[in-house]
Amino acid sequence: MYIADSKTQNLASFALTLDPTTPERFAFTASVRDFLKQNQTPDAEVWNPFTIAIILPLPKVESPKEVKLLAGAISIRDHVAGVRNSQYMQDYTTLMEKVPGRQCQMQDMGKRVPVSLLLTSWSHAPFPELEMWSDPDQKRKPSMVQPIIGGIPSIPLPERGALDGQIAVVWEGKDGDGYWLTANLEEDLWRRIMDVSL
Amino acid sequence: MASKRQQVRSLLQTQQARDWFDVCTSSKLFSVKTLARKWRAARESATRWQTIHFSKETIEMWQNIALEAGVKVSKFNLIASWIHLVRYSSTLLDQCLFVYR
Repeated sequence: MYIADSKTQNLASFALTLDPTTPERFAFTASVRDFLKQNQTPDAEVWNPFTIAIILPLPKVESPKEVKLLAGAISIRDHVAGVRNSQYMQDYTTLMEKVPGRQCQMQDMGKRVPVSLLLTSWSHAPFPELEMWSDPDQKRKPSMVQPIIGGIPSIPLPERGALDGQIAVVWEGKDGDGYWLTANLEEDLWRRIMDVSL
Repeated sequence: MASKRQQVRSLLQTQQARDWFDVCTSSKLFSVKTLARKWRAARESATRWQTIHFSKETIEMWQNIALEAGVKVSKFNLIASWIHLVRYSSTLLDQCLFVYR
């Protein structure tokens, strides 16, 4: 589960899976705001100030628990160091100049560290201006809008992430009456959401 | 003659879909051509707009469980994460449901 940490805007890491049958997976968000301030060009506008880095799982080997823990910690530290290298952002802005608006997932960052890194650019879209309602007399602005990007946070990840034309909008009910989710999702997914939300 | 944009927009049956289309085209997030293709694909694969309500109590229960695990998470992120859990991992979802209970 991806959970943004509002206290440490620059870097935060969280466990992704609770499934004991798959290797441990971690992901973290990293701010690229400073890089964009210095390097943004009109031909390569990147609107989202955060990237999501998905750390590839460590190979499963028989070793003491302490050794596994240490290997995991070293791997995460290497990934964080790699993300701080701005070369991957240079690669992305170069791509954006050729194909504006392209959502992109990079398989590595200049060969420094093997990591899946997702960069997107959609926060300029006026989603917050949408009007939502369950009762026409109680129209509300979205509390959260999330375009759905193929590959987030799927396992395994595809070669390239891209907006897939779906969107989820969350908005507050009137008088604190819970929350509403409006989205265009597959029938089967809706059915499963209904089943587990009751 | 109606523009390509108007032609595609006229296919959308709900206000939410039309609003979404307007936002995406005005911000150039997608081209009209791409949206037309996605719309056709969506119609054929039975994608649809729907709305579901999460009670305040349900969300607060999820938040409290996350908090007990040492994670503070916003109500909105919880709901968004929920979609991804349901979409991508039935095994993981089962485990989370177990935790939530």
